[in-house]
Parts: sequence; C-alpha cells; structure tokens
Amino acid sequence: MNRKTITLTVNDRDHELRVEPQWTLAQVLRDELNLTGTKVACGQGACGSCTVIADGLAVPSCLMLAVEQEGRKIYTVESLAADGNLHPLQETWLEEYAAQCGFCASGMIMGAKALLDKEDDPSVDRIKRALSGNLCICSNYDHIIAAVQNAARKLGERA
Amino acid sequence: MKSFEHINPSSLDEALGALGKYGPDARVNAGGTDLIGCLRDEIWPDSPKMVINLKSIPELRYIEEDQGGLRIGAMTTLTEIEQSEAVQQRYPALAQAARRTASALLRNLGTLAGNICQENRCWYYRYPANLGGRIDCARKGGTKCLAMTGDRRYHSIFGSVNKCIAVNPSDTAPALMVLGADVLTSRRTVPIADFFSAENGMKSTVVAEDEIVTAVKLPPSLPGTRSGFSKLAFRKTIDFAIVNCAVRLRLEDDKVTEASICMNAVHPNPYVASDGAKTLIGSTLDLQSAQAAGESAVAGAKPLKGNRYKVQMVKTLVADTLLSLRDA
Amino acid sequence: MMNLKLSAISCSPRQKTGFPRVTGEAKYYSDVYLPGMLHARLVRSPISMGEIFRIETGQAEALPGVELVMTYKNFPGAFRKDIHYAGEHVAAVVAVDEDTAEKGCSLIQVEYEERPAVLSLEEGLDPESPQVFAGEPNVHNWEFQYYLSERDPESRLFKRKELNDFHGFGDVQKGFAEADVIVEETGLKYAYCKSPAMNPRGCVMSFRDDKLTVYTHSQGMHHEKTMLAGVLGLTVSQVNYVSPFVGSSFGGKIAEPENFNNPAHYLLIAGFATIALKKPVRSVYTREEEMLCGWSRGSLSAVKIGFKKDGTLTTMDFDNWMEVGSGGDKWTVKNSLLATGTALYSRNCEHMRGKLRYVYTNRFLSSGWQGYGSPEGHFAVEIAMDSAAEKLGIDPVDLRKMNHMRAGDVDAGYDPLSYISCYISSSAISECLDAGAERIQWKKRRLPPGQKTGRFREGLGVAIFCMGAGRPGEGNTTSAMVKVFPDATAKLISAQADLGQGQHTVQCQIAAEALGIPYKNVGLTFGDTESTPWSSIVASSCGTWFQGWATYEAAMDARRKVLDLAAPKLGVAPDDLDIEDGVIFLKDCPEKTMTFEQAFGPLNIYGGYHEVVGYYYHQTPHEKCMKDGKPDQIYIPKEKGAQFVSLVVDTETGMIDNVHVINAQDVGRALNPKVVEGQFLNVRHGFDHAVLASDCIVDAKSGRLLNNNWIEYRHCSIMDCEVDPIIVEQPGDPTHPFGATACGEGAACPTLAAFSNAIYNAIGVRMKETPFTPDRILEALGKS
Repeated sequence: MNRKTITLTVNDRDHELRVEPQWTLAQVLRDELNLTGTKVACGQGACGSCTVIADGLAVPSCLMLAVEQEGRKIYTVESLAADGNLHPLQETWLEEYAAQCGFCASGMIMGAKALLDKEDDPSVDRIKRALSGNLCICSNYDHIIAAVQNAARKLGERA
Repeated sequence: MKSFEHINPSSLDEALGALGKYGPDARVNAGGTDLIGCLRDEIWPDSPKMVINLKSIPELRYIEEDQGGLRIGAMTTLTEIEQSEAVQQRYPALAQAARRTASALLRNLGTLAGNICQENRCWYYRYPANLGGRIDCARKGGTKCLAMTGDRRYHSIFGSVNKCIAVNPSDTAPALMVLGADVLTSRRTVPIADFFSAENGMKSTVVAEDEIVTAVKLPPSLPGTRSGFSKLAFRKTIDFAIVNCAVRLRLEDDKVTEASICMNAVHPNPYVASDGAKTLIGSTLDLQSAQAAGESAVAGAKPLKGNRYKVQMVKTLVADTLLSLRDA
Repeated sequence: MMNLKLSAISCSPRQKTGFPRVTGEAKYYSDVYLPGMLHARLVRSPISMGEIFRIETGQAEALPGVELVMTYKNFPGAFRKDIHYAGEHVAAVVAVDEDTAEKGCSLIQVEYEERPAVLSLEEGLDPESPQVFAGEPNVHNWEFQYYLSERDPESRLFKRKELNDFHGFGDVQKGFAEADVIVEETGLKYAYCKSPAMNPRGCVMSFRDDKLTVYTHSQGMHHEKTMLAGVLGLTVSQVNYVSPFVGSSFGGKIAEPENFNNPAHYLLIAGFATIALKKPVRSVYTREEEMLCGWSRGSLSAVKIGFKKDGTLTTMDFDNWMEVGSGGDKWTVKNSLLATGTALYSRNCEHMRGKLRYVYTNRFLSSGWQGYGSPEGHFAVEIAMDSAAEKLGIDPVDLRKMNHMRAGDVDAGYDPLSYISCYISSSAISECLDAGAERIQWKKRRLPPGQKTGRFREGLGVAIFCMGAGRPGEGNTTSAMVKVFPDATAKLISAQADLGQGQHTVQCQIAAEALGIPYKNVGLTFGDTESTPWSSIVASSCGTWFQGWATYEAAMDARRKVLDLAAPKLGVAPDDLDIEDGVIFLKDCPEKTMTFEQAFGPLNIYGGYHEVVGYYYHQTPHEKCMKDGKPDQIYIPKEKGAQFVSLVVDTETGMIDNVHVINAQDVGRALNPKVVEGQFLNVRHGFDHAVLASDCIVDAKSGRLLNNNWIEYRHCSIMDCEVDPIIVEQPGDPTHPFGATACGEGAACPTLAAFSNAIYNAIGVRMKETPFTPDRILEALGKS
C-alpha cells in the first residue's frame, strides 16, 4: 500500500482523499466520489467516455493518475445541471436524440462543453475535430453535431 | 494496475534525485497517454516501483523562440505545439505531425517528449497480462520475436533491430528528424539523428536510466525552407500510422538545394531516406523528381511476407509529401 | 385499426428516459456500488486447446483480502477443466478490492496440457484438422433444413416440408439447365469480427434475506432472470433482475447463463460467489476481456444464380459455412438465407437450394448480433448480383428491382420450425432504390470501371436487404401494462429494454396515441423485473412491432375501461365515444365533452376510481398478422431497403476515402423519425468492417487475439464516414396497429456488399474478403 492523501478539486468542491498512486482520475471520481456520470469504456484513452474538463481542457480521465491532479480545477458531467436546470447542451442532446444508449453522452457533452466555452459558433469541421477522440458506438454522430450546433445557438441567444 | 510509489517533484533536480535513487525501478510519467496503458496492461516483466510525474515541473513546459531557433519544453503538449504560431509558420512539418497525432483529447495530455519516447505498438509486445498472460518477447529479454514468425502486417519493412521488428510509431519523430532538432536532456544535447535507439531495448531511445529529456531545440528556419508531414492511417483520428513521413526542402530559384526525408512506422527507429533526399538535390520539384525520391527512399526495403504493401504506401507518401511542398 | 390522430406518433418528441442519460445520473450496472461489495477478477488461459493439468490456488487463498478463489474444482457450474480458446476463464479471485483480486490472480499457478488447436475457419473446414470437441466433427450441417414442396396454386404457400441436408424448393439442377445466364461467385468471406458495445459486459449482485438482486445489462430481463434462477438453484421469485440502461448491446451482450458456451460467465461467477459469501459481488469485464468474450461473426459463402435473358432470377444455389468458434450459437446460420431466393429474391425464384453448415474452431464464440447471420448471406448474394448485372448488361439497380420481394410474396426461409412458409407483409425496396439512386446521382455519376483513369478513382455501389423483423411465429409472448389516472396522465409499465434504439420513447408514443392523451402525459416504469410484467427479449428488431402490439393493446384495454366509466355518465354507449388530447367526447357531437376526472368520478381516501389498469398478454400470431384471419397464412414484416456507397480508391496507396453511405429503408410508418434516423446511422458498423480493418486478428500459432483494444480494433469516429439516412414511409402494413414495421438490424446487412461493389466500380477488381484493406487492394491492383 502506497496510499497518499490528496486534495482534488472537482466541480468546485475540494475533496480530501486517501488514494493509491495507481488509481486513475476516472477511478477515483467513480469509486471514491460516486461521480459515476464519468464512464470508463476502453481504459486506453481511445474512446472518450471518461472525458472531463481539467483547467479548461477536455481530457481522458482514464489516463490520468489521481495523485497528479492536485491544484487543477476538474469538472465532470455532474457539474452541468447542478442547479437543477439542464445545460443547453443537455437540452439539445435530448431534442436531437444525440444519446442513444447514452454511455458516451457524459464524455461527449463535456468535450462539446470545452469547445463551446472557447468558441461561440463552431463550424461542423471544428466540432468534428473537437470530438475526434470521443466515440459513439451507436455512431449517432450526425445527431451529436446537430445538438452541439443548436446548443451554441441557444447559448448565443442567452448571452 | 499494480501499486507503485509516486512523487510530484516541483523541480528537475528533485525528479533526478528520485530517478537516481530508484534507477531502473523508476519510470517518468509525462502526459501518461502511453505509460498508463503499459502499466494497466502489465506488459513489462518488472513493474516500476516508482513513478515520477514530470507535469509538476513548470520549467519543462514552454515554447520559446530567439535567433538561435525554437525551444520546446519537454512537457509542452501536442495541442500547444499544434496551435503555436511559431511552429505553424516556421516548422510546419512539426505542427502537422502534432495535429495528426492521436485525437484532440489525447493531444491535450500527450507531450512532445512523451511522443518521441513512447513505446512501440507491437501487439505481441503489448499483449495485456489479463488475457492469458503477458508475452515476453525478444524486446523484453525473451528469446523470440513473435511477430517475426507471427502476424507482422504492421511491422518493419527495413529489417530488425536486436531481433525485434516492431516499428517506431511516433508522428512527431520524423518531423523532428527532418527539421534537424536537438534533444536536450538533463545532462547533454543529443542530435535527433542519434536519439532513437531501438537497440536500447525497451527504452527505444538513448536516454539513460538516470536521465530526463528536458526540451527539444529546433534550428532557425532558413529562408526558402519548406517542410511537411503526411500520414496514412485507417482513421482520421485516434489512429497510429500505417506509415508516415516528413520532408524538409530548401529551394532556390525553383531548384532543390537541401532535402531531408524521414519515414516512420517502417523500422524500429525512424528511418531517414538519405538516398531519396540526394536524388532531389539540384532538381526541380515535380512529379517525376518526387516519385524518383520515393523510389530511392524504399530502395533498401526488405519487406516480410504480409507487409510488402507498406513499401508501396510509403513510397507514394514520400512523393505526395514532397509534392505538397510545391505550392507551400 | 383505430382512427389515427397522429398526435403522439410520426413526430420526434423529447427522449423519454433521456434526462438521466445526459446528466450522468443514469445508473448503468457498472455504476452500482454496494456497501461491502467484493470484486471478482479472472485468470484466463494462454492456450487455445487442451486441459488444466494442475491448478494451485493456495497462495491466492492465503492473500489477505481474498475471500474466495473459484475454479472448476469447487465451482464446476462456472468453470471447466477443458480449454477451448485462448483467453477462456480458468479461475476467479473474489476479494475486498480490485487491486487485491488482481494480485490474487497473479498468485494462481496453472499448468496446462496443450493440444493442437483449430484457429481459423479454413482450418475448421479441413477434415485433417483436430476436433474442437472430441468425438464430434468440426463441420455440421444445420439440423433444421427443409425441402419445401406442394405449393398451393392459389395461396402460393408450401404445404409440405421434409428434413433435408439443404433448405429450399424446386429443382436447382433443372433451373440451371433452363437458365440463359449463370453467375457464380465463390470464396466470399466475411471476416470474423466483433459485436460492439460501449459498456463492457458484467454485473453486480447481492444476496440478502434469500433474495438475489442482479444489476446488469439486458436485452430481456425476464428471460435472463428465469435462466439465471434455474442455474443458481433459486426460484424465479427470489431473483430481481435490474437493467434500466444497457450501454449498447447490438445483440452481442445477450446473456444465456444456462448455456455454458455463451459468454455470460460473469453472471455465474458473481452469482455463485455472492450466494456462497452472502456479500455483494461485482464482476466487470475490461475492454480487453470484452473484446475477447464478445460475440463474433463471420462466414464463408458461395453463390450460383441462374437468370433468364431478360434478367429474371429463377434459380439460386447458396452455400454458407458459418464459424461459431468453440460451440457458439449455431442458429445464426439460418439467417444467411434471408438474402437468397427464399426471401429477398423470392419474387421470381423457382428453384432454391441453400446448404447451411456451422463450423467449430478454437476461437472465442460467435453468435448473432445485429443481423444475426444475415449480413454474411447478403455479403455473398449481393456481390453475385452485382456480377450478374454486369454479365446481363443490366443496371444493378434495375436488376434488383426486377427481382426483389414484393408485399404478398412468399417467404420460404423464415422459420420452418413453426411455419412452412408465410407472406411478406410489405416491401418498398424499389422506392428505396429510387430514393437512394436519386440522392447519390446514380445514373449520372456511375461510370463503368473501364472508363476510369487516374490515380484516384471514384466508385459507386449498391446492395439491397431484407432482415427478419419481429417474431410472428407461434409461441412468442410479451406483455405490457398501462395505468391511467384521473388527470388524464398514464404510466406505461414495461420491461422492454432501451438499448439505445429508442424503445422507451417509442413505446410511450404508442401508448399516448392509443389513449388519446399527449405524449408528455405518459410516464414509464421500467428497469427491473420486480416492477414490470413479462416482456420478451429485444431481438430481431421487434420492439416497435412485437412489443408495440402489447403496449397498444394494453393502452386500448385501459382506454376501454375509461370509456366504460364515462359512457353511463354521458348516457351513451362506450363505442360512441372517442378521446383526443386527453378529453373524452362524443364522436357524433364533439362539443359534448367530459374530462377524465369527471369520468373517473368522485375520489376520497377510502375509495373511488384512482386509476384504471389496462393489460395485454400478447401471444403470436396476432390476428392482424393472419391473412383473412387464417392462422396458417401469416404475414411476416421485414426490414427492407437499399444501401448505396460512394467512395474513392487511391490506386497508389490502396486507401479508401471520401466514404458516403446512403441507407434508404422502408419502415412502414416512422413512429419517431429521429429515432429511425438514429438506427440508420449505425451503418457505420459496416464501415468498421469494410474499411477500418476491424476483424479479429488472431495469432496463427497461439490463437491469442492480437487486436484486443480500441486502438487496434477500430470503430468509426466522427471524422471518418458520412451517412445519409433516407426514411421511406409506406404506412399501411397490416401487421402493426399504426402500420409501422421495423428498423434496427437491417441496415447492418448489405453494407459490406455495397462497399465491395463500389470498390469494383472504382477499380474493376472484386473484393471477396473483408476487410477491404490497402494490402488487399494493392495486391488486387498488382502493386504489392
């Protein structure tokens, strides 16, 4: 046992945790913090189910050691509707039927969120590039692209 | 994944101290996109006792340019390289290689040093322990290269190194090769041409057990210099290359005065095609000269049964990449 | 049929159980963490064939934190001594956490007695090869092949069936003798490839107070629960099976714990362990384990087709050898017939012979997923049809139009176990061909390969398809329950699984339309067996069609009960009433209305009508599925349509790019167009198998699966393949209350053939083996 005490800042809350160095961020989010919205599907960073936003960037949390994440601001899908209202991306995801089985949705939405946080009106090509590491096995990409575009529009109307 | 000790050093000295203490039992972790997979699958006979994080060392992450050229800190991410204006404008081969590496997600984690130090993707070498046990191949000190007698469709077309025919999978490596980079480490400067060393077994580079890559230095880009990178892969994202290649040319009055070609995923080390480059000197860059360079680049190929197609692919890719510089 | 209001169907309202899917609140089985839960990890075999000679577990048992070590010795129900494929599970360690369980696994020593293995379909076919199961040949004729005869001149149905070593009718020898043009293609190989699923298989179980709760993924909770109870020696009522969300499945995660040759061993391991230890146990497969254990498919085929000069298809001879691995599901082979003269080309085919065999190998199991054997048959027949078109000098689209099945044609391959033959209920394949051809500009863009020059060559290809939909044959049952409340809302109580195909949404739309209340007023109770009535497994793309009947009839039952309450209060008969937008009214005098509240009457805490409950137990065949009410003349709906592919081949690198796939499919009525589109979009799975080199690559010596992760086994990303879904609606299929048929697996059937045909059109070389990788293309072009 090589456990270490770390403080993880997740969804604007600090959590003091005892973790094994080999535990990935995805593992700790799920097993220790019960934030099971973050999924693990491939464990190799090849599918994006585990995507979270860390310091503003979309990253695969299955390839990040939890002990290396102190001091970073990490956001998971659970942060989006924390106030009870769906984020525009979640709204459009429902309207466009962008989540079929839903297992990719958390990661895909966080990937899209990281994009929309930086760009107001991304082109289809930009959306594809931003989500190039997120697989949807239902291969429902066309609905996903529509959902991101519509969410950008909704966010624009709000601003 | 097996347990290990771990530190987040705040300086290079602290990291080197730990590395000195643990020696071969330690591994440094850059972006983690390769290392975590290797640890998870328990592919090595001896798992590390210590993992040293390099992301906690701020001095390793920067892009700086002066008259001496461009210096990129080892922990600079591929996203940062892809987006750097200096890299895009003066070292397009590197910007393109970074942009074609893995996926947007992985590029946010993956670093330049990690990309050139990564392990090969041979499916025997990387066979996971939990599917019936690890495969101890020649590269891990075993007696046999299983690919040599097994499925080698993605393996070397230019022969083996220490019995191993796994290819170097890096996309940025050939770009750095043609750009004439130096790799700076904690103790020395290594010209990139001397950096890759599949001869060194599992390390795949000349980096010693107590040494850390700290930066990559690119010489100033001289007037008339053009460079480019191309990759053939099944997918437009996430994938490793079936073959890739980078080229750099210097043109004066339409004539090639300098040329450099490097292919990867064709040999255990990035493979410089000096003969191919030579054929270009003094000629005009056109379809004929580009194709001739491609032919020369693969003249020494020794494909195996099952991977002959890669010769045709990389030959074509070399010519295509050269031609893409015509209007660059 | 009721008078359709089209208020809740033929539209795409918000996904019913979408909210938790997009907030991260949805609990997939792997998100369940129970207090005191133990973790199981498995030891897997390095050899492909042989038996365990010695297994030493003492060290693992002594490791602190290990609570149980399971092998064939103490749990023969979950493990066996014999090894049949590399990676087969040989032991499990159950421990307080995953790290300890993994460590325990590394302490188990196993010695094997290795025997020669059969590691490919070709080796399986070789009579000199060793036997995968001692005493049994590797190649078997499928046991249920029938020769059909005595065709009734009036009904055109066959009246007689006799077991034979092939399936068919007529006399193929005569057919070929009389044919003007004969086309033959052999060596058509659909490579062994894997069912995809986002969430790898596994379960979490707890056994408390003599009750077993099983959190897992399921396409048919009730069915799997019954099987698991039997295997574990429990009564059905002791088990609650919980699977609100599935994490995709495509048929590949169907669990049959009573069949050892089905990769549902996590259920056995966790089940036996949790009962033995009285503590919750979690058994979750990694991606690598999922890659190994997930169902595969692949086969070798040969086709010979006879035509009249004008292109009329009269005769077909079809051979299929389906690899089933080490004892996988042999039933899939029957579906390879769907593409033949028994169904897709039943229009003019008079002589048909289909020889079906399944072949054992020492590889991981295969079974039906997304297409259930049908894609393999389509791959062969639709390539041969392309060759035929060229030979006959007829456009491939036109040749298919001449010969594809029409509504009322006879399906002679569907399910001779329960019927000899039956009627195809609807088929608008010609309309699909027209729509697709127009979209892709077939006439304008498609030049013969000989006219193409230059390095980059564009190719266009087409293939049509039909896939069994629903299970109309006798003996299929499913049910649903609908509660209606005085505020004109309702609750559908249904175990029908939503794998991602939208059944939670679509079933609520059906209930709302039948009840005459808004879609948003219908809630759904789902997710476990304890709170839902029996529902059949979601397979054969039967959700909308088969479960749809149960939901519709249950809603109609509830509706009748509401009208029974309203009628006396209005002084009319129930039949005089209708409901729209949640309001009851007189058909003849729509101004005369009544609310549900008024109809239900006064309520108090002691009494009144607080709810009415509708229920329906659907037993096939439904009367609407019989021609003129005759139980021996049934209709079968089909998935059917056409797929077009355009692509560009780089003749110097062998790479395929600019891929565009059009799926035009007749769905009868699209109850939810967005959901239907979503189903069509998964033609990208075919792209994986065609272009992304995604087949199971196995080391020829050890049998180990080499591309066992999602980097080396590739699935289509957002950047790789454009898909254009075209919904063709022909409402009026008699077999569904709203005229819908089905969509789901159909789109998976023709893709590989359409790709092969497009490549042929580009470069003039027929690719008969999947995947169509650069090495094969360059070799075909003589450049490698």
